[in-house]
Amino acid sequence: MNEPTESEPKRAFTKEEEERKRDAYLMKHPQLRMKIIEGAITFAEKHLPERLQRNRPRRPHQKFH
Amino acid sequence: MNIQHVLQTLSRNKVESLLIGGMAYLLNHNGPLTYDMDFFVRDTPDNLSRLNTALRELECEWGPKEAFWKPVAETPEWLTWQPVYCLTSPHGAIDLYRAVKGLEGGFDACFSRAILRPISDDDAFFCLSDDDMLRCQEALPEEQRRLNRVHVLKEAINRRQRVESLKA
Repeated sequence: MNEPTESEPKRAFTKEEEERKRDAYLMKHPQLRMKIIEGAITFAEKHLPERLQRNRPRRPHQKFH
Repeated sequence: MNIQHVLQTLSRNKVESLLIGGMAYLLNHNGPLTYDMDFFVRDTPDNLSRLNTALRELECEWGPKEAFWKPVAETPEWLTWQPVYCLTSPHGAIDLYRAVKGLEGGFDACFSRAILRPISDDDAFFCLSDDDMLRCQEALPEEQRRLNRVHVLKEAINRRQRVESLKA
């Protein structure tokens, strides 16, 4: 079996660990973070306006922190 | 988030995948806004290779550690390291699953039950069925289940079964 490369994780991350890792990255890259959040809101406003009225989106500060 | 662009890129690259999670639920029912797109992908070398091509087109980034975050590799070997990946892209956050808790029957079984939804006039994508979404919820520890989602899914399944029995 091949030895893990330098960039290969020593063990598989769980979903929660993967999310935490991505959130940590996004916290250091606010422009990308806001692009993702604003994109999601724009998507909902454009495609799901009726649902958006009944389900207010979580505010950006409640995500990716 | 440009879900249409993500779905079209996956479709154009012939990636076998199912939209799952909050976005699938939101599109089929009525849920809170979600900030990522979750995909269950067929775990074969050919499909992972096509997936890697699509992810590079989508300018996706990932790292085995936060410090090593960078554009996804040119070759798909990294996609075999883990069962789940959380990526970033300018088109939205993307989660990839090679296996999903509650869906141990595998990708093919889920695909056979999937719901086809249009992306545009000449393209469509597959969403996880209500039955499989419910299986995912029921596989979670009770305290992690989204009770409203479970209730809505059960109602939808019951409604569908009543219609099917009337047609029979």
